[in-house]
Amino acid sequence: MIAARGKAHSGGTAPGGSAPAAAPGRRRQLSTPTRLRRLLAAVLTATVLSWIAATILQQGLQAVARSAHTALSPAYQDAVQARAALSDADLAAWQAFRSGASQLTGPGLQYQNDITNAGEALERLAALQAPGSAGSSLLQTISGQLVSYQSQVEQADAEYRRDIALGAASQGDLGLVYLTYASSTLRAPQGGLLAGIDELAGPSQQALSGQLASPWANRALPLVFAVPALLALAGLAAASMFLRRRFKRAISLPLLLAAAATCGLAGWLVIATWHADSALAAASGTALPDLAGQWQSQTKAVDAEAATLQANPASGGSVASSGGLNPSATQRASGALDADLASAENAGGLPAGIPLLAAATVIFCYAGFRPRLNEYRAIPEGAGVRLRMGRAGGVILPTGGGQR
Amino acid sequence: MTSTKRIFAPALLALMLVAACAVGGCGSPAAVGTVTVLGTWTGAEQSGFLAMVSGFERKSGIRVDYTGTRDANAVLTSDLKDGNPPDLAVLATPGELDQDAADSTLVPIDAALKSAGLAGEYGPGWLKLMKAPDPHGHLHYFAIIVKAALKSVIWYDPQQWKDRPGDLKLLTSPHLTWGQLTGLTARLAAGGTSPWCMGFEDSSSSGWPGTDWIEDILLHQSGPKYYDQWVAGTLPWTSEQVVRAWQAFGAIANTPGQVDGGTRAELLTNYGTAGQPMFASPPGCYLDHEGSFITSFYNLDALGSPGSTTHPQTGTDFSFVPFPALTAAGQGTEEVAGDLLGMFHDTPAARELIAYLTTPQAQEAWISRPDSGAISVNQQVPLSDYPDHVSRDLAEDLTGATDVRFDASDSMPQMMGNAFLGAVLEYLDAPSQLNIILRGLDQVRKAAY
Repeated sequence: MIAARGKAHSGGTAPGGSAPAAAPGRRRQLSTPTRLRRLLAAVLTATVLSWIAATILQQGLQAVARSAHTALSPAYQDAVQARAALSDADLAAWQAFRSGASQLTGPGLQYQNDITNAGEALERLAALQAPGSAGSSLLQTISGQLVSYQSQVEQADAEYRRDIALGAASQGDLGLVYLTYASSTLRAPQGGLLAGIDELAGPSQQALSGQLASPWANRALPLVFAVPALLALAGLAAASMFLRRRFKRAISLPLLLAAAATCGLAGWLVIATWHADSALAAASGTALPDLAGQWQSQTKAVDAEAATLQANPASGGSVASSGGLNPSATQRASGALDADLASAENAGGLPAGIPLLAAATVIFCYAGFRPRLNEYRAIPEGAGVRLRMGRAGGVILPTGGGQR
Repeated sequence: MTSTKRIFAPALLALMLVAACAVGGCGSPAAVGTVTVLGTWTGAEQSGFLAMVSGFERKSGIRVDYTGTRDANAVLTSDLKDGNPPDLAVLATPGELDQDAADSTLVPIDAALKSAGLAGEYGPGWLKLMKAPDPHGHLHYFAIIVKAALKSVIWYDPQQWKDRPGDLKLLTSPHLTWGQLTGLTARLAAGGTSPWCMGFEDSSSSGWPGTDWIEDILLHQSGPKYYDQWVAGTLPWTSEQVVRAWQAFGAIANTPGQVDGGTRAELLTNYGTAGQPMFASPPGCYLDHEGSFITSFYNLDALGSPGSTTHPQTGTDFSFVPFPALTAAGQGTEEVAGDLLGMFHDTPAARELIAYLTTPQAQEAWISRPDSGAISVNQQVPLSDYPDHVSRDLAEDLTGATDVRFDASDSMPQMMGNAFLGAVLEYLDAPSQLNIILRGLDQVRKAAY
């Protein structure tokens, strides 16, 4: 202890209940232990409230970041990836048929790779859906349509070879007709495979955007935490002043440490939440629009190219060398989004730091108040004649003492 | 307990609660009373079905989760393979109903239906379609008919015939013969406009409009007796009756000048938009052979110039005549079809929905919509509930018909029906290969029956 122990104020009040009835018109005075207990209760309540507020704030923010990083972003990315891969598969099939390569290679290697990629993305997407949910049901439909699409492309391949064998007897190019049916299965605006994936991707993107703009990511939210923290600090200041006045102490180290722990918690929380908020803002304002733009522009180009090939038999050779999707560009954009979300989710040691610092505040408070309260413990409630002064001794007060 | 402990205890309890809440989160109870339904209805038809079940949802509190796709059959096959079918699904054909009932994939719905009441509401032919033998050979109800269609119908736009009053009189004559019709179409073709609109594209079911043509011709040329033998697999595809039907179909579909756009356009045009040129100015074609459900598509077509936002109106811009008999043997009979809904998961909610869908109230909710194209075969549904005279006439024909035959490709075993669809496309592509195609179908027939 920095201050000398054991010297109670000469006007020390007897324990609770010993004070005489206040004179009419005069404010009733509280006994010292009662005031100590009330101060302790107030500081602890404010500390607990700040603990609760900090926990809710940190958990809420981390839950937002975690949900965006581990569920919503993968769901969106898998949906758009599956959609783009299927668009590209359709383009690859048209390129193979229009160029004549399908006579030797069928719909081609690019088609096979795209179908594999789309299938894998849809599998991952299915794993993210709750069983029995509308998304799960829709994915079942999409999965069935994918099987149907593939079988129509296979049929197109078979008919294409038959057309070649028939020569002039074939007047409808049935192979290309079946490929058109396959494209229709894929691209029908109502009930088509891609429309089904769009039904998943659109809400997924909206959900992700909504999550990134969640109220938990508001920079002003730490102010909610600041209220109980300031109350705790005010309580500690009041307690220090009371102890200095009543017990002649310049400063109480435990209460000083309690105040330091509260300030530390507040500072750490503000820095951590602002860091997470910044990462979420970057994801929302830059990374997600970049990624969405990449997928949109690439898919649009692929769709347009496939439509040209489907509509114009003569265009085959000239556009067959198109590059289709550009995976490296989407991977870069996807990596940037993932990095932002991972950064937002990473709270460092804060989840453990909050209870530790709050507990430290509570313990230091208790340590600061306990010696003073112990001084009153031996005096029976209501007796009010003896005030223990700790190890330094005590003074005997007359019954009815406790008045200042 | 000391006073300081009294302060700590509630605080710690509160903290534990906060921690538990923060870590565990709060879950919401899973939705109960949901029925998943897979169907082929999209667009206006989907809206009609959803309108039909909305009353059920309000009344029962059960949610209907509907998925509509033209590839419902392929999706259902995939779902069944994965062991995760929807609660209820539209079955592609009565042939599929028989197959799924026989291998216990479908659940009998006798308990869900009030069978005694059904007999008073549905004709015996329709009730028969809802039944199939279980694996032990016992006949049960396995499906309901949600809506039906009249297939022996030829559509035309009365506005496009105004300057041909004589031809219109002939076309709408109740005694129109096939010969008169082909004479009329020959005159139209000679005038430079293709008489027929045709489109056979329908995703994975492409080709069915062609099977409808061949079925209607066979039914009205050789009569119900041979039609039944053909459906039952006892009349070979290479028989005279079947070959004649294919040839009559080919005389229209494969003859230059008869169909708008020619063979390639027939193959690539979707059945739902095939009738669009009929409403163009000048018309690209004058006649369209489609089932009664096509009205829901006509209502979306552009009237006049392409891109027009005015749509054809039922009765004013399109009406129908019955498919004419080719011979005396084919008179007085009609081809029909219906959408069968079967139960794959026996749940109280699914049973409740099945029971509801057979009621006149449910059927009325769909057929009374102006753009639905739906016809109910429930005899308790009054004709006055139909929104226009064309729908009423169709419903009257359908419910009042005494000698109807269900769509052949739908009634055949699924393998045979699918081969039929593909054969139509191959025939359009290479008409000279008809004999080879029909011999191939006979090979399939031997395996399918």
